[in-house]
Amino acid sequence: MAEISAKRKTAAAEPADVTPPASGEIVLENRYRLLVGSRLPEFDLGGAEAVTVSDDRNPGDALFARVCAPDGLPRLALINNLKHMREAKLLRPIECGTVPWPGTKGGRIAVVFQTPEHGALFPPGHESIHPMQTDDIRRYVLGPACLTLGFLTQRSLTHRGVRPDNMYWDGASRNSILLGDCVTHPPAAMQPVVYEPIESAMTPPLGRGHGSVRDDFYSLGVSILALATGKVPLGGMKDEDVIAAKLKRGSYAALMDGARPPFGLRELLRGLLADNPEDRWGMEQLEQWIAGGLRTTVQEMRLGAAERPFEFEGKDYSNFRSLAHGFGMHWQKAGKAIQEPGFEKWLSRTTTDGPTTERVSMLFSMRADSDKLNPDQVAQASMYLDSTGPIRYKGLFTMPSAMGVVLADAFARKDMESAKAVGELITGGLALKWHSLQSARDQIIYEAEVKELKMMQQLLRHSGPGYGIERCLYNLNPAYACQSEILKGYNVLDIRSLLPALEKIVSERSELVTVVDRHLTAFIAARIKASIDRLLSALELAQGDAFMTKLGMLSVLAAVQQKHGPNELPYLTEWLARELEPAIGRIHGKSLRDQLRKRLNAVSSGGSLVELHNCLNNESSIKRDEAGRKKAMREFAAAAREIGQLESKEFHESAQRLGWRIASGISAAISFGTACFVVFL
Amino acid sequence: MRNVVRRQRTFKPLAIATAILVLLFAALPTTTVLVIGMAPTLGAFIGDTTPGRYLTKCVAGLNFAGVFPFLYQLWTTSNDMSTAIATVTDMYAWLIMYCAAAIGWLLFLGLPGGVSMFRTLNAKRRIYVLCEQQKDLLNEWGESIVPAIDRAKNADGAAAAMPDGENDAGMERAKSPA
Repeated sequence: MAEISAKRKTAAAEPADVTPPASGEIVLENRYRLLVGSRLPEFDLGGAEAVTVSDDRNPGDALFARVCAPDGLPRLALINNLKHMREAKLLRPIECGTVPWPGTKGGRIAVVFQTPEHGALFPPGHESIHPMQTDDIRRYVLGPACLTLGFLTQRSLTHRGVRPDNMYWDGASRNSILLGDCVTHPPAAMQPVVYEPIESAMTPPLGRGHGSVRDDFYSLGVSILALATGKVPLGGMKDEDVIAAKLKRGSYAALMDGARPPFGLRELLRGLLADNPEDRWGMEQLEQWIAGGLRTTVQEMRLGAAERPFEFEGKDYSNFRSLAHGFGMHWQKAGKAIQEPGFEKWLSRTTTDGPTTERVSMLFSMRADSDKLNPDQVAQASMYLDSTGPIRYKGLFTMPSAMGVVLADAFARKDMESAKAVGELITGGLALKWHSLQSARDQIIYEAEVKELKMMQQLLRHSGPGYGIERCLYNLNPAYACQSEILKGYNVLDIRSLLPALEKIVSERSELVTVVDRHLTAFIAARIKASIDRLLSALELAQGDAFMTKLGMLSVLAAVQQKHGPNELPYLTEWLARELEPAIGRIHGKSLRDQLRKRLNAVSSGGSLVELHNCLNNESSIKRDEAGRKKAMREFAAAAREIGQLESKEFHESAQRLGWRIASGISAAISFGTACFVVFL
Repeated sequence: MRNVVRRQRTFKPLAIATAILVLLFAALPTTTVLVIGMAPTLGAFIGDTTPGRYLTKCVAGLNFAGVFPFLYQLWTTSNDMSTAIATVTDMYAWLIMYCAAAIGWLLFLGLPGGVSMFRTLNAKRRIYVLCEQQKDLLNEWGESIVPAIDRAKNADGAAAAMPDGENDAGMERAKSPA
C-alpha cells in the first residue's frame, strides 16, 4: 500500500475483532461496564451469558447484562420500545450494543437490565414450589401481568416468554411480579412446549414467530396452573407426547390430566387455555375476572375427532391437526396419501364445523385438479387441515411472522436449502395463502404482515444485486448483522457502522478482497433511508464487467456516506481512488482527463466517497466529453474535406476561370468607360 | 418539342444574317469602320476555345474601346463613306484600334495566372491552418476522432481507395509532421 501521509483519524467502528482479556471490563456506550469475570449463572438464559454491570453515572444501581450467543437472534427491534415502557411490570432493557467478548471474533450483542430485587417465581432447576393461593395469584400475578401485556398490546407487541421461571418477584414485600426477558432470544424460542398453544407447540422454537397477545394469555394460563399446583404441568413428558395429549384431549383437559382444577381458577384456566383462539379469553375478560364479575365458561374446542383413525406412515391420526402435522413431517409421502380414495372417505366422515367444511372442500378441489401433488400442494393440504398451524413445506415448519428469523438462522448455519425453501414459500404464495385462511379478525391484525409479504414477493422476483433472498433476509430482520464475507469479524448491525467497518478493514489490510457482494448490497438496500433502485439497476447491468461493477458499487457506497456518514473515510477513499483510477481513461478529451486526474488526486486524500463518485462517475462530464468528441470528429472530417478540395484539380481550374471572368469584366468596364468618356467629355 | 428547338436553331443565324445585311445597307460607313476595326475580335471569336468565350469577351471589350472614338468622330462629322475610308486608312487609327485589342488579348493571357497564383497562396495558407487544427484535435482527442477506415489504413500503411480521394489528402496531412 502506498504510504499514506497525514491521515486523519476516522470515526471507525469499535474494534470488534479485538479480543479482551478473559477477565476485565468491557465498556458499553461509554457508561456501562460489563465485568467479564463477574458471572451470574442464575441469570443465564439459553445461550446468553449473564454478567454484572456497573453504571458510571449511577454506581449504586444493580444491573446485569445478558450477552447473547454469537449466533443468537435477539429481538433488537423491540428494545427501543421496551426501554421507554417505564410503567410496565417488565424486566426492562436499559441499553444494548455490540461488545467484544472473549473467544468471539466480531463481538456479541449485550443487553443491560436492572437486576430484579428477588428471584424467579419458579427458580430454574426446581422441580416444584409451594403452591400459591388463588387470591395471591389474582393480586400479585394476574394484575401486573395484565397491566404489562396491556401496554404491549397497545403498541402491537407481544412478550412470548411468559412462564413462571421467567417471572420475578417485585416489591419490598414481594407483592408484585415482573415479566422476564423477552428480547435476548427470538419470540417464544425459549418457551417449553407445555406453555405454548398447540399450533405454536407444533412449530420448532425459532419458527414460532411473534404471534399475538392471545398466545401470551395461553402461556399465562399454563403459568398460573403451574403456580397454583406448585409444579409444571405434564412435567417429565416428551414434547411430542405433550403435543399429542393436547391434540387428543384439548389443552385444558390434557394439562389438568384428570386432576381437579385449583379452587377458584376453573373458569380462568378454561378461558385462558381454550385451544380456539377466538374463544380464548382476552384483556377484557381477564379484567372482569380479576374484578370478580365474569362468570362465562368456554366450550372445549372440538378438534375434528374422527370415529376411525387415518393410518399414515405407520401411525394412526384421529384429527385434522395431528394429520396435518404428520403430513408435514413426511411430506414426500404425503402427496400420494392425499390422493388415495381412503383419505377422501376419512375426510368426509370426520366431524367438522363450518369453516373446516369449507377448507375440506378446497382440499377436495385441489385433489381433483392434479394426479400427483407437488410439495406446494402438500403444504396447502396441511393448511386446509390445520389453518392456524404453521406452514409445513418440505420439512420446514414456520409461522409466517417467523420467516425472517428462520431465514436468518438458515444463513447463519449456511443451510441454503432451508433459505431457498423460505424463498419458495414467499414466491409460491403459500405465506399469503396461510393468511387468507385466518379469521376475518386476524386478517385485519395481519394486514401489515401481508403487505410486507407482497413486497418480499416483488423483491424475490429480481435476482440482481440488492434484491433476491438476501434482501428479504435484511428486510425481514431489521436488526440483523450484515452477513457479507467482506465484513467477517465485524458485527455490523446498522448502516451507520458499515462504512467505518470498511474503513477499518482497509486501514488494516490495505485493501478489500472484493467490494461487491450480494449480502453487502442487499444490506445497504434494506437499511438505507433513500431509494437506490437506479443504482442497483446500473449495478445489475454492469454484471460481468468487474471494473464497471466496482464503479457501480462506489455509487452505492457514496449514497450511504451521503445519507448516513461518516464525513471522512480517508483509507477507503484512497484505496477506491487507486482501484478506480482507470475510469478516467473513459474520458476521451485530454484536457478534461487531466482536469479529472488532478481532481482525483485532491479527492483521494479528502475522504469523501461522494466527491470521488462525482469525479469518476459524473454523468454530465461523460456526456460533455462525448459531445466534445463528436464535435471534434465533425471538425476533423470537415477540415480534411476542405484540404482535399483546396488541393484538387478542380480548385486550380476554377481559379483560371475566375481570372478569365475578371479579365472580361475589366475589358467590358474599360469599353463602357471609354464610350462614356468620349460621348460626355 | 424537337421541331420548336430546330426552328429556334435555324432562326438565330438567319436573324443575325438579316441584321448584318440591314446594317450593311442602312449604315455602311459605320459598318465599314466596325468591320475593319473589330477584326481582332473576329479573330478571337474564331480561335476562342474557352468555355464561355472569355477570350472573345476580353478582346471585344478593349477592341471596341479602341474603335469607338473613331466611330463617334464619324457620327459627329459627315458620317459618309469618304470619312469612313479616311478613318480606316489612317495608320494611327489602326494602331489605336489594334493595340487596344492586343491589350485585351494580353489581359486574357495574364490575369488568370495572377489570380490563380493568388488563390493558390491563399489555399496553402488555409491548408496549413487546417492541418494545425487537425493536429490540435488529435492531440486533444486522440485517434478516436479519425474515421475507422482511415485508422485501419494508417495502421496497415496502405493507401485506401477513397471514393473521391479528397479526404485522403486531408487525413494524410494531419498525420505527417509539420
